[in-house]
Amino acid sequence: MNSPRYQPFIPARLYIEEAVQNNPWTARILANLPGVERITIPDGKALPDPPALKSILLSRQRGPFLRYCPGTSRHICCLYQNLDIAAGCDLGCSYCILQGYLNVPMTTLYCNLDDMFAELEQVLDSHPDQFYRIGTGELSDSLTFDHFTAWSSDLVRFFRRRRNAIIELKSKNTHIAHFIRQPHDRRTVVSWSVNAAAMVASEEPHTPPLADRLDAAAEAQAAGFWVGFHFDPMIRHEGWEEGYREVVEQIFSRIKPCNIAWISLGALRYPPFLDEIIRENHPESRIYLGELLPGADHKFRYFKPQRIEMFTRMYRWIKAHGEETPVYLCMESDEVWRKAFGWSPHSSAGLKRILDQRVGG
Amino acid sequence: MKYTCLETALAEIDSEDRFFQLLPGRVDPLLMRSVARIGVVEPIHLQLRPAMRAGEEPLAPHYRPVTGFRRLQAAAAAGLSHIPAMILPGDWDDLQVYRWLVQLKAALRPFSPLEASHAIAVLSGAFSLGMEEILRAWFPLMGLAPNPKLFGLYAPLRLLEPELQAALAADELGIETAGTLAAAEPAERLAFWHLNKTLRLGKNRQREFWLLLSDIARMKATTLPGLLEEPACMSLFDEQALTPSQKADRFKSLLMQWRYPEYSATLARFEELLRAAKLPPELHLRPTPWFAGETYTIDLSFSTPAEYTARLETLQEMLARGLVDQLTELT
Repeated sequence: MNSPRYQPFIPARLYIEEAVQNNPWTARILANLPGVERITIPDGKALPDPPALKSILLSRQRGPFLRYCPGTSRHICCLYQNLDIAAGCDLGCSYCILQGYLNVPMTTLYCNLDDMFAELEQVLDSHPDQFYRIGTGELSDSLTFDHFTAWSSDLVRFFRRRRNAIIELKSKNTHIAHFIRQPHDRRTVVSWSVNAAAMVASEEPHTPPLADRLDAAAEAQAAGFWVGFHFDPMIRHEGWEEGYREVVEQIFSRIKPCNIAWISLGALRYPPFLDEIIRENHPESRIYLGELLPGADHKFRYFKPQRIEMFTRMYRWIKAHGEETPVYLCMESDEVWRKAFGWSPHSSAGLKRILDQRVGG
Repeated sequence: MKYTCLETALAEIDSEDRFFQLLPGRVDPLLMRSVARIGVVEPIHLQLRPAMRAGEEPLAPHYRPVTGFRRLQAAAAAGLSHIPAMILPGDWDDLQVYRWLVQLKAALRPFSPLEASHAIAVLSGAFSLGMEEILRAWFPLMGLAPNPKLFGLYAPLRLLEPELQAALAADELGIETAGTLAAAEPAERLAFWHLNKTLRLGKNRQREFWLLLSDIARMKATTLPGLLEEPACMSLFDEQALTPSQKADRFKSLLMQWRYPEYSATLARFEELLRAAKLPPELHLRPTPWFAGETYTIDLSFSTPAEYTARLETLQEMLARGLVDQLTELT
């Protein structure tokens, strides 16, 4: 399924914290990576200096796994909850916030999933009337390590029985083999971050191409899963209209609206400190040359009329395929909602309600 | 540690050997005058040349200067034949001498970015030390934090032209901008430095202008010198009636139009409407920063009921003339 340019990530070395060395999720990773060097360490905070490039730390999550998406001030947020089972990503996209966000020298996989499931049970059981949309794609890509963790399988199994929650596996990757044939009772949304082909080529050069992601989405649809798409970040570039419209058309040529849980739109945005990092890490990229200006939350965003123009067009192109598919804006103000879509959920709670209802909440 | 103190003949010192000189520089005329009048008071430090240390046939000159390069130069210029000098222990190799020198200098004050840059070049070049070791073992000796970012910032500074190095040493060029310029093509940084002299930019504005210029050059697929030769720039620089500060403001406005064309057009339209409204100084109307929101704010000041009424009438007139509609359409 994958193109030659994309190579599934295989770590050069595994650092294993003593606290997780004997648990079954660690054991599974070790079994799936037989030739990889392993070093057991007492504590992940005391890593040997400097760790090898492309290393992975198998660690214990010391804090809670589940936390609200931080959102951003004065903007409407979908009140999503993040499940932090990993921190770090191998895909190296130019715009990625993780470049400036994580202060650990390597990707960390939190292997104490027994604690995670206990925490989830406790939270979900103690609030049976509250609906939870939960995702693992905030501090990592949900599927990029799944070819050797197979954690998606555990998550799909756990959420299958949950009436007040769904799990969203958000990815640019195509590692769906470990869960695609499992029963899921439509409690899992498998979603893909998508972008205009020119942007995939220039800004996401280490990811599977768009066609592969859509193939995987079609496979997930065939297996009965909810499918989602995230046009985030949308990047203004020469020919952006054709580029994004083409992706919309490709999606609807493969996926039925009744199977699309949601489509989100978000324009390129980043905190000021990331500007320098992008320039330094991705000198070939041109994304920072856009008309990006500080917003109310101090993040750089495209000049507002430009964002409204992008969202307006996308909304029209998507809705041309029917009213059924919910489209929402990620981290935008009530004003931008109104001007781009002609309506607004008015509040974060309003948006949450719309998305919850779509998937049975 | 055992020093030997000698009145050493200048002919015995290889003044061309600048291996240990931490920062190349010219001799201060004050020092020249002082040495000419009363001679060298503070001894310089010398190292026996390697062949001498090995007990081989002595070759003149016998010594390499370690400190006191400027005093040595001043002494030669003053026509002195001898200079007081401390001779470092003969069993010290170059690395030991260099470590001693770094400690000696840092005892007075931490290394400046330029001194650190030259030291990094010596340590990584002549002594083949890696970044890790320089950071760990040498940065603290220089009075610097062992921070890889500082290493990356300082290392290329010695590549700057002498004029830019002098500006950095004199605190006329910001360290961040200097680091960026050091990584740029020589033609780009010299063009920028020429611009800086024309506009007399402060350190904060140097960085702001550099970012704008380099982004615009990339957007227009040209070079920075090419950009500065565009007619719009040239005519502005040639404007005799403008002060450097006025030129800088107008040039920034031009750069903003190129860098942020849609925002600049909106701002220009807003200013046009504001002019049309002819607001008195007691009425101040402003949009949200960068037009990020849709609201406008009005500050109104008055001291009598009559003034209050007059301000409200001005605002009502704005509404009647359709200016409020046009303002709200803008956002």
